[in-house]
Amino acid sequence: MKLLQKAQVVLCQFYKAEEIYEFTEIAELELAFKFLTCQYLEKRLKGINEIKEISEKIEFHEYYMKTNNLQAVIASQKSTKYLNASRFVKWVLNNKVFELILGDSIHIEIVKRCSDVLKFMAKFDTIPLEIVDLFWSACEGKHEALVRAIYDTIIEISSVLTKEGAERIHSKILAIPHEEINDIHLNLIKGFAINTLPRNYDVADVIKAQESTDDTGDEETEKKPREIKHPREEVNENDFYCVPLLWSLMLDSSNSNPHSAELALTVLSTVLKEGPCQKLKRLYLYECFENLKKNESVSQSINLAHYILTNTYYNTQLVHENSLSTILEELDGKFSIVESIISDMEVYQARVKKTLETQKDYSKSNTALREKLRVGKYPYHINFNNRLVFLEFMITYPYYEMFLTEKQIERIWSLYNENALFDWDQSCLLKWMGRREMNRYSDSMLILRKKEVPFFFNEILSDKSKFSYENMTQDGFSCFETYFKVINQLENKFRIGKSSNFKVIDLDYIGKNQLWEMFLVCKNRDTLDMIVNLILECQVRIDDSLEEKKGVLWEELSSRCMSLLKEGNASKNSKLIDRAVLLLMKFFDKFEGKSEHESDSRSPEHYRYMHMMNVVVVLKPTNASKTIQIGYMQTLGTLRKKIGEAFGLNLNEFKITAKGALIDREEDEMQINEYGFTGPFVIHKVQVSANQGNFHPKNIIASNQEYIDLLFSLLSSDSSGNLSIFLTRIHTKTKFQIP
Amino acid sequence: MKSIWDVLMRLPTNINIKKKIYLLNDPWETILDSSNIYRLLYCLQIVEEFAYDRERERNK
Repeated sequence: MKLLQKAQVVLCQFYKAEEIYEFTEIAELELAFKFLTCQYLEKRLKGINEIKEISEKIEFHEYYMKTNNLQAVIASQKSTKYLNASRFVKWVLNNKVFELILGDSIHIEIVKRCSDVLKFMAKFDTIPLEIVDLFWSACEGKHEALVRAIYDTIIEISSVLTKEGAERIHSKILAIPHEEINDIHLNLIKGFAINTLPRNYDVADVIKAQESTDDTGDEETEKKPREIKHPREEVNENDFYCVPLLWSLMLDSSNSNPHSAELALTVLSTVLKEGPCQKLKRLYLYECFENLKKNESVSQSINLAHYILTNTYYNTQLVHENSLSTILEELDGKFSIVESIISDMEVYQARVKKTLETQKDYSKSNTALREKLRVGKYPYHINFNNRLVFLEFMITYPYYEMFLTEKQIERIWSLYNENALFDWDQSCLLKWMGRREMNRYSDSMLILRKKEVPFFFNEILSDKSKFSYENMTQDGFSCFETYFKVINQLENKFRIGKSSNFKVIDLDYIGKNQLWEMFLVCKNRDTLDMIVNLILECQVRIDDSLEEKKGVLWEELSSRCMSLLKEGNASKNSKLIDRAVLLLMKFFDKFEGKSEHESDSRSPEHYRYMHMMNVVVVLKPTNASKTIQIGYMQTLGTLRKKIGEAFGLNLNEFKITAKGALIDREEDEMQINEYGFTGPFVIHKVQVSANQGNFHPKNIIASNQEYIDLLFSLLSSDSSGNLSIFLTRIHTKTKFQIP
Repeated sequence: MKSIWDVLMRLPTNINIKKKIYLLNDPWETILDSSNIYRLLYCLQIVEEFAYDRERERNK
């Protein structure tokens, strides 16, 4: 090639330049073609690269000619002198260059390099339909990698194809049977759909929307009545290649496999995010909600709707067609979103129930079946989760209010709790209902509006026919606890402070009886621990304004525990005795300031390999200091416990200060490394109030002879011959405490 | 049963029982009542505690 180029310069000095240009440039093309026909890949690569380079030079030629810069054509090394676009295209077609490339000796590296030549053809002429067909048919029976390369070429040229060319590719894509569509096809569909989007569909709208959001920020604007047309009046989905195909692929009615259907949904989401799909996305939102109403392909429809809403609309209160609040208002008006979701949940559960009737291995606890069972394209558990996630999105969106009515709460409760098809459904519902999250829109977010909380608590959580206290799980109790705190906060019985800890400000709080009832009947041991903990929290987290009532309260609880023991003893009810003892022991712990994180059940080995450090603790005002070893990952609560042990003090007999501030008991769960202070810690002794001493449950019980006799009676009443076992287990060296 | 004993062990010593042991006004059979083995064990622990303290005082 270089020789030809140098020869061109030399020959031009002796012969007519035009003839030499024609001769040498044609020769260059012929030589490149010759290379392309070689059997060695290296030569063939050289051939295709040369043809590409020549096409680039012709582009310069065409540019200079277009700008009437003939001088540049002659002088520029970058431009051809004789060859122009039409001669080049004619040469390519006459020599059947693409037939050669895509023929028997097809090679992935050559295919990858030929898109520039095609783009050149499209730019200055057209890509003939025969070449389009040739590319398509070249894929048949080829290796996956080669098919991908050919499809990539098709994607690259799809934006420059004529309408006929695009139609041809489109018809070929549509001809692929749904069941055969795979990842490679979907990648082609994605690229082709995006590159052939009609550019006349309001890209300007998107920019306008962006600008209006940027300009006005969060300012309130007056709501103007907006004319709402059905999206079909504004856009025709058939103007968008492959988009209707993607939609149909993801539906339950399609033969596509679930994986391809899922991919089709992802691809459709990506395509709809593009600017020209501004109006089309609204059409598909309507389609999605129509499916929800019809209970068809709901899981995928709500997934798509969720994606469109969160990724292509602006999170603003402004009234604008691209504002999320505006579109939600429109959709809610048309489809009554929350009601549609709940109705669909009922229909879907009924369908699944029917399917389960034929499943031999069905049981509520069969989690594997829950994940395997398919009613529609997706497994049951995904259908279940998608619906809850979508409903949550709707009812927690702050700028357009949608909420669960009392009736709807009842329906959803009945569906997923009372008549749950699987235990796991119950658990999911309880976690979902009981979650109380901080979010960026407000301090604390509940699934229910505050207005509906009393109904939920009083009519559902307090109704044992709807919420079994006996079989209550930890999730169930967590849900109860959340609403117990919320309702008492709403009724000004509790004050919620730091780390969602609460203080009782009215002893006549709501849910007290329910708590005791749960305590007596709940079968699950872990749940029982949680119940006991909440009962005791309500006894010790008393606001200072109720200081004088604390004593009576603690006395009442001590006496209640002893009454339960007495009742258990009389009726030989060991379950009741165990519960009373559990409550009493935990009461002692709580009273003495011990909490769960302090009596850490993890073994010391857990911290063996963690970095330990020494912290200095100084007791004021004596300035007695001690060094305590603690791990970075251990909590302030553990540090408090270790300090107490080192100085021989009860946990409620001293206060710790660090960084000039008191370490509150509410901070005890924080890890040392999170706290970011390694000492010295200063402690001050505090006087335990006389009230606290007098009403310590231990003192109340120990000073009552009747109670002591009851304990001995309980011990001796167990005549089942366990005495020797007992004697080997008890701590006879326990040091007696002096009152 | 063990849990009831644990409750008992966490409580301060019952002052009435302790007084009876310290004052020795009643006969031994009454103070260390063997009809209730647990009460007996409880009382013996008080006795042990008492004896231990005295010995320490003597050593001083």
